[in-house]
Amino acid sequence: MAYTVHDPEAFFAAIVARLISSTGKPIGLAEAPADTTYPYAVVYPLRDESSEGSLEDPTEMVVWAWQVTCVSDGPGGAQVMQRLARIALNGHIPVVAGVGTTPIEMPDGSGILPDNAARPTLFYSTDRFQCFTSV
Amino acid sequence: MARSTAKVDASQVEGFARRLALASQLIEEEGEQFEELWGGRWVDEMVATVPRDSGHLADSIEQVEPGGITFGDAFYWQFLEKGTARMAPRPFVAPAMKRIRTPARKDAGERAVKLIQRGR
Repeated sequence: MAYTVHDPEAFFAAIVARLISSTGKPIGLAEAPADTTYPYAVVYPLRDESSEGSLEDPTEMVVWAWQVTCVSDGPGGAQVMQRLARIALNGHIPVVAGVGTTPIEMPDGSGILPDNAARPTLFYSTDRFQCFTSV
Repeated sequence: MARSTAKVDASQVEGFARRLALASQLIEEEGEQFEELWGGRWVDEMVATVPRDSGHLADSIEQVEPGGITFGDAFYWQFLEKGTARMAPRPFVAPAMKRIRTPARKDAGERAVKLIQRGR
């Protein structure tokens, strides 16, 4: 097997692709998607919470961590998006060339929160997910 | 039928009870020192990395009791940590904890070994 270095871009692109194909909703990476029809979700890589393992060493295990912020103009829409994202990700094994990954876990789930700074008020959730990569 | 009897030396039981009480006190003191030390380091890590605007949030983070952290009136720490509907998260609480977790675990293990050695 040819090993490759850990590639955050390829990994998070795979997460976004999985969410798009499974939920059928607009998904953005680190910013809102071009189509902001509600509900939508944004994948935010949490780079500070990823493993201290070396990204350059393909034999080291690395933890990928990210947040999925689900957004809608009503609490029900945000909850639907959150549920779809959880179904899409929990237990899913991302396919990334050259590395093996464990099933995705959700160590930190959130409720639906109002964003009162937005006009009109928006509702969102902030579930956090992670998985390990190894060779 | 003969009855069996046994003599119990009450002083041994009392001595064991005293040692147990002493061990409990030592563990409590050690635990408090541990929480105070690593609570302080958690605060230091957060203050060093928290996103700064006015500096009010950084100034508000403090340890109010061993292991007990407060953000004072800077309620908006949670908006930075988790983001909002239209703002990206800029986490500083969990990453700070992650940075001290491994050395804190090591310290806890070393303290436990020392306690066991002192108890002998």
